[in-house]
This record gives sequence, C-alpha cells and structure tokens, in this order.
Amino acid sequence: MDSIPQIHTNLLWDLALLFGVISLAYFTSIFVLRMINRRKVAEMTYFRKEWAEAISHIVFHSNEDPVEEQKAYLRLKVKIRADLARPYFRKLLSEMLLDLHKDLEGHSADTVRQLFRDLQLHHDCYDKLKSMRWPRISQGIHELTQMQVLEAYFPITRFLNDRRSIIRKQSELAIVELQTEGINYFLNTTRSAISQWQQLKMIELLEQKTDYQPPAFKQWLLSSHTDTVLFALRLILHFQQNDGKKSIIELSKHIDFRVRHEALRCIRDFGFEDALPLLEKLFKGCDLDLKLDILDTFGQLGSTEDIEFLENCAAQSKDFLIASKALAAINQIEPDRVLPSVNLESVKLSYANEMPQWADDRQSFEVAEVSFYEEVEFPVKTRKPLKSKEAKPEEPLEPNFELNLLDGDLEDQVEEQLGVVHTVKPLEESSAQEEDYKLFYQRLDLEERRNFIRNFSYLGNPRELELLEYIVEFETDDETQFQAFQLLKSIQADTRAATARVVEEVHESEHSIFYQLIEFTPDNDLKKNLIQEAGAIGDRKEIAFLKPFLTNEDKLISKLASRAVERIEARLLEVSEEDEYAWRLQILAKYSQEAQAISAPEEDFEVSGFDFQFDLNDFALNNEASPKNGV
Amino acid sequence: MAFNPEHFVVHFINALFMVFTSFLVIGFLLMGYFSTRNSLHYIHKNSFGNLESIMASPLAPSITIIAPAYNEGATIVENIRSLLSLHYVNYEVMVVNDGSKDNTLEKVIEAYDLVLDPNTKPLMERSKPIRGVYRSTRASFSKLVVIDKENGGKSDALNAGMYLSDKDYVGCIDVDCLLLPDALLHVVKAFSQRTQKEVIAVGGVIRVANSCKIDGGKLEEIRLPENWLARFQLLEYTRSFLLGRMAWGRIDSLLIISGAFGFFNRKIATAVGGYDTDTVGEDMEIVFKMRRYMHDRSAPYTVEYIPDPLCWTEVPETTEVLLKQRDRWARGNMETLSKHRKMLFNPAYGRLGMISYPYWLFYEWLSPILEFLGYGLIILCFFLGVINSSFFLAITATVYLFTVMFSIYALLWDVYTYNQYTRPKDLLILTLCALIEPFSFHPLVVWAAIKANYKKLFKIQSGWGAMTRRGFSKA
Repeated sequence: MDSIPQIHTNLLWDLALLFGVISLAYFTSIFVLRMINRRKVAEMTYFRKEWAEAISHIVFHSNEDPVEEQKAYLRLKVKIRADLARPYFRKLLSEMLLDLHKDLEGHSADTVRQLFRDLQLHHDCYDKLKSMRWPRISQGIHELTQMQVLEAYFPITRFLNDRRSIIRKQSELAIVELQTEGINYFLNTTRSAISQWQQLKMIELLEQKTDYQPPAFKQWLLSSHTDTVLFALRLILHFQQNDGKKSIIELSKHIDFRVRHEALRCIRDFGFEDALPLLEKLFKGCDLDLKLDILDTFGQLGSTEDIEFLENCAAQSKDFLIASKALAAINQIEPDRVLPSVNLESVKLSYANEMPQWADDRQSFEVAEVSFYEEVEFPVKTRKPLKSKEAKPEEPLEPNFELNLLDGDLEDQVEEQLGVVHTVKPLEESSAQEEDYKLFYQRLDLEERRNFIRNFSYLGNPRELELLEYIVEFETDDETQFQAFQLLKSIQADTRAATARVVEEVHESEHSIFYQLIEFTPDNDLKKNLIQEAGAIGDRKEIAFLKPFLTNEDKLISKLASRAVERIEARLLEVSEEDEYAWRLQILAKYSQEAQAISAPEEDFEVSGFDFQFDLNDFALNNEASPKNGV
Repeated sequence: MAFNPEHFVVHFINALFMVFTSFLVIGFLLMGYFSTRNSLHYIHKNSFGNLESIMASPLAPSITIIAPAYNEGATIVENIRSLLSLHYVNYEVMVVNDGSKDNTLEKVIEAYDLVLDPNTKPLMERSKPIRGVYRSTRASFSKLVVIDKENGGKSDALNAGMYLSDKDYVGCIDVDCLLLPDALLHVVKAFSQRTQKEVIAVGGVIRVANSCKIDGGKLEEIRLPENWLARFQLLEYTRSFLLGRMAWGRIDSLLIISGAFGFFNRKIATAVGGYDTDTVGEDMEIVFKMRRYMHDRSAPYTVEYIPDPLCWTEVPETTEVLLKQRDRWARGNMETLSKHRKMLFNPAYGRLGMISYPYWLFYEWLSPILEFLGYGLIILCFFLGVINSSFFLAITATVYLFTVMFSIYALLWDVYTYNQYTRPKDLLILTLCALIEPFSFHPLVVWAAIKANYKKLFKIQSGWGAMTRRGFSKA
C-alpha cells in the first residue's frame, strides 16, 4: 500500500517549503512596503514643511514689495537654484509645485506654473518623454500640460498617433489644451478611434478656454476618418454651428451607425426639414435604432404631408416599437389624430361607421381619419378669405378643408346658420372637434368677428388660446387682430405670473444661499452661525428660509432665528417703495424662465409664422404691452 | 502483476484528486499573474488625470442608480442622503420600495417632501404592479425618484427601475451600500473609454464596512472589523476582488458582477429582459445573458471591472446569517450554470465557454463537493488503516501553505495598491486570519455549499433568507 502515491513525498515537502518561504517573503514585503510608503510620506511632509513658506513667498511676491523683501526673494531664488543641482531635491520640488498648482486658481496658479518653468523643471518632463516606458511618457506629457509649457506642444504632437493608447490619449488632451489651434491639428491628424470619454474631456477643455472662438467644424465632416467625422458632428452640435446643413444631411447616409445617429441628432436639433425626403427613402434599409431615430425626427420636424408615410410605417411594421413610435410621431405632428382604441366600451356614435380601421390588428391604437371631416361639406360662403400676413399668402386657411363656392340657395342657409352663431358661446359648446372653432370663426363676417373678439372671455380652455393665436396670425382686419393679440398677451401674462407665484412660494426658501449650506450640516453650532449670518445680510428669501427654524426644538436656534427675522424685517422697512418694486421685478424676471417651463408645453403660445414668447422681463419693466411685440 | 480492484479504486481516486489539485494550483498561479498585470496597468493608467473635470459636464452620460428597498425603514433616509451626495451631475436615484411592510415609504415621503407624480408610465408586464411614482417638491432633491410597487423580490424591483429609467446606464446597488462620492465618475469613465468594444456592464470591488466610522452617509475612517467572521470575509473579499476578478477582467472573461455594485448599459440590459426573477443568483445570471446576447450577435463588447474601493457594505457577523447568504449564493450559481449549460466547452463562446464557465462549474460548484467528499474519504481511509500518513501530511501542508501564500499575496497587493489598513496590528490580524482561515472559516463556506446542493437535489424550496444588519457605526 505504501507504493500507491505516484508523487514522491519529498517533492511535496519541497513544494510546501517553497510555498512557506514565499509566504514569509510576502509577509515581510507587506511591512517593508508599508515602511517605504511611510518614509515617502514623511519625507514629502518634511520637505513641504521646510519649503512651503519659501514657495508661498515666491508665489505671492510682488515687484512693489519693500526692498528687504525683494532681497529676501532673490536670496531664496538663488538658494533654490543651488539646491536644484540635487536630483532628489528637484524631484520633490517638482512634485510639490505640481500638487500646489492643483489647489490654486487664477494668478496664483499662473505664478506657480511660471516658477516651475523658471526653475527649468520642465526639462525633467522632457526627459520623461524620451523614456521607453509608457507610464513615464504619459506622466511627462501630463505634467507639461498641467504646467502649461506651451513650447512642449510640438514635441508632444509626435505622440498623437502613438500605438500605445494611454500615451496617445494623453497627447490628444495636451494638444487640445496647450494651443487654441490644437483641436484643428488633432482633427486633421488623428488616425485613431476617439473614445467618448476623450471627446467629453476635449469638449470640456475647449469650454474652459477663455474667449475661445471655435473653428467651423463642418470642414471635418469631409474627413475619411469616421471617428473624426463623428467628433466633428458632436462639436457642431455642442457649439451650435448650423451652417453645414447639406453635409449633415448627406451624412445621414453614412455607413457607420454612430455617424448616422449623430447626423440625425443634428438634423433634429437644427430643424433641417429638407432632410425628411431623404430620411423617408433611407428608412427601409435602416436597423431598428435608426428607424426609431428617423421616426423621432419626423415627429419633431414633420408636417401633415408626412403623415401618410408615418401611417404606412405604423401599418406595415411588424415591430411594436416602430409602430408605436410612428403613431406617436403622427400625434406629435397633429395632436390627437391617433386615439386609443383597445379595451374601450363600444358606444354607438353617429359617425362611428365612417371611421376607418387600421389594417394592422396588432397595434394598440387606431387613427381617427380626417376623411370624415373632409366628406362633410359645410355650407360656407367665401365672403372674404382670411390671409396670412407673411409667409403663406396663397395657402388656404386649412389644408384639409375645401372652401366651396356656394350657390344662391345655400347662401340663404348660411345666413340662417350665421344667425345662430352671432352670439358668443363657450368654445367647448361650439364644437369639440379640433378644427371646428377655426371654421366657426372663418364663417363670421367682419362685424361679427369684431363683435366676437369684443365679447370674448377666457374660460380657461386651451382651445380658446389656440383660436386667439389663429386670429392673430390670419386675421386681416387690423383692429380685430390687435384686440386678439392684446387678449392673448394678457392671458399669457396672467398665467405666467400665477405660475411664477406658485414657484416662488414653493422655492423661495430654497433660493436662499443659506439653504444649501445648512441643508446637509449636522453641526448645530454651524447652524446657529449661519442663522445669525442670514439675519445680518439676508432679505426676503432668508425670511422664508428662517421660518422653519422659529419652531425648532432647540430653543437657542429658534430664538436666534426669531431675532434674525426681526433684523431682516427692520432692514426691509427701510427700503423705499421704488426699491421694493424693483425687487419684485427681479423676482419676477428670475422665475419667468421657470414659469415658462412649467406652463403646459402642449399649450405653447408660440404660433407658427411669428413668435409670441415675449420676454416677461421686458413686459414687467415696461409695464405695458407693445403691439409690436412679436407682430 | 494480478489486477487488484482495491488498488485500482484507490489509484483512481488519488489520480482524480491530484489532477484536480494540480489544475487548481496552476489556475491560481495564473490568476495571480494576470491580476498583477491588470492591477499594475490600471494603477499606471489612472495615476494621473482629473476625473472631476467631467463631473459637471452637460455632455456627461446619464445614469440611474436603482436601489431596491424592502423593510429598510430604520436606515433608508440616511442611505438615500448618501446616494444623493455623489459627485456627478447627470444622474438620478431611483429607490424602489418593494412592498415594504414597515414604514419605509412613509419615512422617505416625509423626509424628502415627496408627492405622487401623476404621469406614471405603465410598466406592462415587466414587474409587479406599480402603485405610484413619487418625486420631491424640493429642488435640492430633484434627483430622487421613489417607486412604490407591490412586493416581487429584489430582481422584480430592479426590473421596475430598469424599465422606468430613461438614462443611458443603470446602476443596481443595495440601498444600504455606501458609495464613495466619485464612484459614478469612475463608472462613467469605464463605460466610455473604450473605442473598439462596447462596454455592456461595469462592476466594482465591494469593501467591508463593518466597524468603519461613518457619518452623514460618508465614510470617515476605515477600520478593521471587530468581529472575527467579518475579518475572515474581509480577507476573502480582498482575495476575490483584488486578485480573482482582476484576473478574469484581464482576459475579458468576467462572468459575475456583484449585486451590490453593478452598472449596466440600459438598452442591452432591457433587450435581454432585465433580471431573471426565477433565480436567487440574478446578478450573475444577467451578466451571462448580456454576454450571450452580444456573443450571439457577434458584436464587439466587454465587461469592465473597477478595482478602486468605491462601494462599502456590511457583511454578516453571525454564522447563521453567513450560512444563509452563502447557501443563496451557491444556489444562484447552480441555477445560472444550469440555465446556461449550453455554454460549457462551447467554442462558439470563446474564452467564456472554454475557460470561464468551466471554472465556475468545476471550482465554484464542484470544488466544495469534492472537498466535502475528500474529508469523508480521509476519515474513512483513516479508520480502514489505508491512509499513507507521510504522504497525507505532505500534501496537506502543500495545499495549506499554498492557500496561505495566496491570501498573503492578496494582502500584500492590497497594501501596494490601496493601502486601506495601515496599522501594523491590523495587518498582523489579517495575516493571522490567512493562517487560520482554512480550518475555521472555509469549512463554513463548504458546508453552506453542500446544504445548497442538497436543497437543489431534493428540490427543497428556499428563498432569499433574511439578512439582518447591525447598521454602520456613527462617528
């Protein structure tokens, strides 16, 4: 039985011994390593302690300092230069300056960089560039960039297409940072893929440059290097350069998915409607993501002419995502054109049979076709066609609606109908359908239209606003148009002011600078100090901020808060009425943007053709509405 | 020489164990080599540069951190506060209240001034029904979204968050985990630094937070756990995360991302159907699924691993809770391996099928069984008097010293890279742990795996098991 194991026992013992010795070596190394680390830290701490004062003396030195200090400054520089002969000193000083400059900004940081260069420490970085090891070269490039050694730009450019990715990436950042034209050189020269992280960093670097004038990035859309094209598109989008329309549209045919995707983003963001016919052709050959992108683009930029294409997409696609995206796009172009149809109780409507069903049963929605309306011929007399003042003089008022020239008999019927509509009724009652109110308005003659607008009262229905916008855009009678404009403007102002008041009430306390400071602090003493400070310098925001503290469990805090509120109130009483008015305007102006965002986007006051988004600031400051605003 | 069946059986068993042990030793040596290379590369690559310049960039990719919460009323408010204070601009914190029976939801609503958002998106059949989505009325908590849903388990809660999110990436974490402030910056960098491959998931190291000093949701001081069980787990985590996963990362064959700190490309994660709700090893299963999805489409992809200590969590301090946890891990492992058995030695899956999957099968699943059988066999041989004492001692010493060597190497590497435990006393305690772990902690892990196998074999129903936590010590 002793011969069963085939491995010699001594070999196992040898192995065990080997593992034991290695374990011991590792164990010793742990403490050796720890000792080395500690010694390094201790040395650096000692060095900093010894030289911190001297360095700060140099950094904050001024030519206007007293003569004695000037002499001390010179002596210090001479001493440092003498010590620089020692490599160890150079290394520590270099590390110290690199660390120091991270904590400084502006002039002080510039002075540290200048000192680094004056002491010729950047030559050590140049030496690192000659190394064979990639971590050392990368570090050299990084340090030269940090210290803004501009003359290092050219030595660094040779690493731009280095095969070692870390070096390459470091040099890319250096090139963009060191020279304003660096980005041009980079885009012209790079032959490597550019990661998203690199792109983010480079855009951040460009953003941080003061007075930076970006070049026309469209020139790189012609590059044969796909990543350059992709990055150029992102730069175009970021810097909002919308002059490369044709190239961008062409790039939606690019073979690379990412380029297409980015081109589509540009098309959407810049509103390049000319791209839609091409996208319609490309749609069939695209993969799912791109199809969704294209449908998104149609949703944002499309017109009623594109609805047929979208309906076909929805009907023919077997993919649920595409079908629902197409339907969503239709609704984006023409709200409520597609309505829910599944899981609904059947209610017999008079026109129910005339609403055609979508062929594709898989879809969750069906489209309520406008053909129903097209087939109903309203007996309307075209007494005086309303014309758009600007862009579309020859277009009919409603593209889907045919104006019929009526014979004499029908004219009588029209008169009869008009007799009914002479009195102003709430729009909801007039018609629930989308276009009816326009139709209703269109049928009125001049006098009736003037009457209508004089008697108009806003009941809070969004359709009423749409009608007003419609009147302002298409009404040819100046008086009626102006009255509609005034009405619309006052409703807008009321809505925004109301929203602003709500926003102000909710967030007033959070706008206090002290809010963020106190929000996360568990330290009661700090809270007390902040409350006192709020009392000393605060205004109304701080009163709102301090109110919750009046009932604080800590009696001292509540007392301090109460005192602070009293101080602010006393100070505010001294403020004149004019100041108070100016202050209110400021508050109003501050929240106007937020109020606009909060007011329902579906009821946006912007009317195609011209813009009603008048500035609340101007309105508040002028305290009157100008008829020229937006018209 | 006449054929002796007794000798043949003993020979066969000896050979089997020897081959298995040799493979393990070689495997671990390779693991040490790859992890060392990967760690060195990572350290050199990230020794300079400024992550924070991207922190506030409007172009930075968006992230949703999904934190499922079930009966976390005691700590939820503080934990959310910690998640809200991360250094990143484009992220949201989505807390999914998975039908808690305590006052978790009420506490969060009260602490963060939440109101019901009427524009809740329907989730179709992706998760158990959503009762409501809450958002804060306060601007300072605008990053917070709370989803209240019916109870469906951790995977179901994560799925709800994943499908409700509209961000580029989703991070699935345990709500009681402590993330370091720049954790998201590291994650975003890992996701977006590749050019040739798409990063589908990013995982990271989990560090042991027991006994650490934590205040206001921030890690104030790193301390060695006072509990011995927690100390053993610390050593185990160091070995596993710093050596094991780094090595798998080096050869792009990482098949698991810890459920406490895992980030995914949302599009791909939802394309594979999110987390599997039928398994207790959902964190491993989703990585398998996502990898297979990319492999089947021949798309260039990778899974990144960040060795920086970004996520700190509390580990079990009692044997009972530890056994439950390891039992669950072992069952999750079996369920996932069984579900994806098509990958085993399948060359179509490259290294995953030929190296990584077999490792999980033969080491993570089979090894505890063989070990357990080995103990039984030794005892049997001892009573039968057929044991070769000198050989037995030699091989035991060899295996033991190899294990100790590997553990101490992990400690050395920890000191070299992140140097978390600087006091000599802590290092000596951890070394002591390495020496006694094979006799004390390791048998517990083996026993938990055997229990899990037993449950699977006899189809004994067992769920997650409650994980009781003491809570982080306050400063």
